[in-house]
Parts: sequence; C-alpha cells; structure tokens
Amino acid sequence: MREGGITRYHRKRRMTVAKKVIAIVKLQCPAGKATPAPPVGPALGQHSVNIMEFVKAFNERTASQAGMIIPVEITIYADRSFTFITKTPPAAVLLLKAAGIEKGSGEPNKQKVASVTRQQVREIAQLKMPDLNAASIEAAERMIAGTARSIGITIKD
Amino acid sequence: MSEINDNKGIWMEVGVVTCPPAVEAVTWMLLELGAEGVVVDEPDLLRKRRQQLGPDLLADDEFLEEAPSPSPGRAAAGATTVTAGGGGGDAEAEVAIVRAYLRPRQLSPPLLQDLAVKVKSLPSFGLPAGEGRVYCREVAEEAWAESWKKYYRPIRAGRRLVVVPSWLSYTPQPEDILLILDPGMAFGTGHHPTTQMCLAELEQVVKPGQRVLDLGTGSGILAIAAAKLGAAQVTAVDISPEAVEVAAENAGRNQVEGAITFLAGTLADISEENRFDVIVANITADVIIALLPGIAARLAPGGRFIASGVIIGKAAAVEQAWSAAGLKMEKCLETDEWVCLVGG
Repeated sequence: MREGGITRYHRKRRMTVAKKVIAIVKLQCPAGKATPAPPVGPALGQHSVNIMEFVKAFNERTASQAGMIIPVEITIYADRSFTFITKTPPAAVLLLKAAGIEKGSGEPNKQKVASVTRQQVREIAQLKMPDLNAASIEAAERMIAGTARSIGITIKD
Repeated sequence: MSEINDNKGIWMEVGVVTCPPAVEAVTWMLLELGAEGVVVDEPDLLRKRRQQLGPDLLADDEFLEEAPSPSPGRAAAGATTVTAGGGGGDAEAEVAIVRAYLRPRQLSPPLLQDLAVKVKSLPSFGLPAGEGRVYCREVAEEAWAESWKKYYRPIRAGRRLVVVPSWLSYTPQPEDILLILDPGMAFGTGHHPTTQMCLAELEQVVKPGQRVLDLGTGSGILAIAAAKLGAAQVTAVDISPEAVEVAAENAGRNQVEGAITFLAGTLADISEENRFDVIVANITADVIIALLPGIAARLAPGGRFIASGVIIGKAAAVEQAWSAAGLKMEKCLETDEWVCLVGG
C-alpha cells in the first residue's frame, strides 16, 4: 500500500530456526550467466539442491558484474534449502588487472609476461584475506605471490 | 585414460587434489582449459565452521557420511589418475580438491599431462602442491539433474493451491486446487518464495472467464494455476523452447492444455491488440523494468499486473519503472530477500 508516497512493505519473514548444515560448497561461476550445466549442476546436484533456484538467485545477484568469474560459497541445510554469499574476484583476475594484461603465460617457468610490485601483492592479499583459507596476512601474500608466478607474473621488490 | 567420446550428456570431470594455498593458482589452470567455472572442495571447511558456529548449526556425522564424497577414491569405474607428486608440508597438509567439467572434445591426454606438469611445478612458484594429483573421470548429466527430486514435497501456496510433484500422490482437502508438476530443468517448483507469492496473488486476483498472460512461464506453474482458477484464456510465454515444452507437458498433466496457448518467444511476439485482465511475470528485475511499457500497453482496463523474481534491493527501480509506464503500484509483498509487486 502506498502511504504518503512510500511503499509499505508487507513483511512475511520465514521463521528463523537453526538448521543443520550438511555441506558447504565453493564454486566459481560467470556472473549473471550461471546455468544448470557444470560446475553448478554436479556441485549442487550431489547434495540434492534444486539447481534452478540457485541459478536464478545467483544470476540476479551478480548481473551487474557480468564478464567476471565470481567465487560463491553455498551453505546447504539438511532440508536441502541453501544460502549463499558471493566473494572477491579470483586472485589471478586481480593480478592480471594489476599487471595490465589480459592473459597469463602458458609456460610460466620459461616465459614471464608481466610484473607487479610487492605492494600490489599486499593489497590483493588484504582484499582477498577474508575469503582465503590463510592463517595470516603473510600466508595470504605468499599465496598471491605464488599465484602470480604460476601465471608468468614476476614480483618486483 | 578412459575412452574419450563426445556423447551428449557426458562430461569429463577434471580434478586436482591439492591443498588450500594452491587453490587460486589451480583454479586458473582449469579455467584456462576452457571450463565455465570450478568447484572447490575443502573437506576441512565444515570442521572449521563447526568450531566457529557450534555443533547445533552443523550436520550430524551420519549426514556427513551420507553426503557423496568428492574424493576420486569413490570415482566411477574408468577414472584416470595422473600423479604429479611433489609439494606437501605442515599447514598445507589440509586437502583441497578443485574440479572443473569439460566436454570430452575439449580434452586430450596431452592436455591432462600438461596440467599435471603445471601442478607439479607449483613448488617452483613458491606454492605447495599438496598431493598434487590430477584425475579425470566421466560424469553422466542425469546423475545430478534428477537427484534433488527426492527432497521435493507437496507445498501449499495461498489458501487453496497445492503444488504436488508428479511422482508423488497427495490426498487433497475439499477445496484444494492441485497443481501437478514435474519442473524438469525449468524454473518453478512452487518452493521458491517468488513462485509462492505469485501463486497466492493469482488466487486472489484471477476470476473465472478472464484472459491471463504469463511471461517467463518456466515450468508453467503460474499459467496452470491461472487456468485452474478459472481463467478462460491463458497465454504462456518463455524465451526457452525447452521450458515451453516442459510447461506444455505439465499443462497436460493438469488437463488444462485446452485453456493455455504456449509460445516460445518474448512479449514482442504478442500483438498489442491483445488485452489481458491479468499479467504475471516472475522473471528478474532488469527484465521486468524493460518489459513494463509493453506490459502496460497490453493490460485491459482495470487489469492487474503481478511481478516477482525481484530482489529487495531492486524493488525501488521496478517501482519507478512501474510509475513511468503509467501504472499504479498497490502493494509490495516480501518474503526473505524477494519481493512481489502488484498493481494495475
């Protein structure tokens, strides 16, 4: 109903109860363009989650980031309902952007394609720290630096 | 490696058994092979969350044991393993498995060997490789496409409508209107909040003899509900021909196929000369905003428009487009993060 120009939202919140989690699934999918095909289908299907309901919700929430690969963490409950949170872009994507290139090296041991500074590595590590399985910021920096070298990006001190 | 074929419905699962610090690097290696995305399994993640959140929020151990393991140790017969070796060490003793899915034609033994070499070289980049094993196995599509059905139960939406999976039996109450449904891979099981809100609104709005348009029909659930509520003519449109096929099958299950015209296309395929007493669109905010002028043009005098599939953050934008199209919004229902807007 409109009252004084403001829409009054009729709240019908579902009852919140502690539900048992049966799985936590991490995916990386194209923003706004996830489909029931892999990786979504097998990752959620093995836990008997309704795949289309996830696809619809994920695409709606990530439509504005089209063109990016978005990591997402899905919590699946015993009744097969689920919630999900989207995360920061993959480290390799952030590194390519920081280095100003579009593609990494196919032979990273032999062919170096770009470089980033130690400071840039630190900034990416700080950005991604909440999403990384890292014990400390130093461990996160080592992960980011290693990922950089694995795609042919060297680290400048 | 197992025999490579390109049968429709067959995917090749390529997995790298590694450790958490190498996940980002391995993910990129798999995306570079042409995968649309990856699945990252970190078996220790559940244990860590249990420590953070307490056992009540987490599963019984028996549930965890029931859950299918991503471990290649349980892979189907024919699984191929390429061991890269190397890596390992202290905190990196945790396991992480990164999986990607490719069509058989996208893969070849040299590509897999190349991947194994790259995984093996992770320590030279300063990253532990963990077990560093690369495996590949065939996965059939139906294995996941059907598995969710065992948890799909009859559900009531509104006062009288009850959505019943076609593979279950249900004893109705005297006034119940049953919607017998097999959604296949189309959207609309009746369990999603947006579908439930649309069904409840249709129950209040649709009167016998009316003309109804369902945009983005998916499984056909809303079109079928409109027909069962007495609508004389229902037009159900979806951009996906597969969804239209599923919707038509569901109409047959409910014996309302004579009342519904199915169309694979968009709103533009429906002449503006057609007028509808009720239009329902359970799609997404952006699509609804784009369609609103065309919807307003096809709404009969006094007609009602029900819109959902809109997340709460975009409700204001839809409301603005609603007014710009010359329509008046009367109510906005909300369930969880979703809204359903109704007006005319």
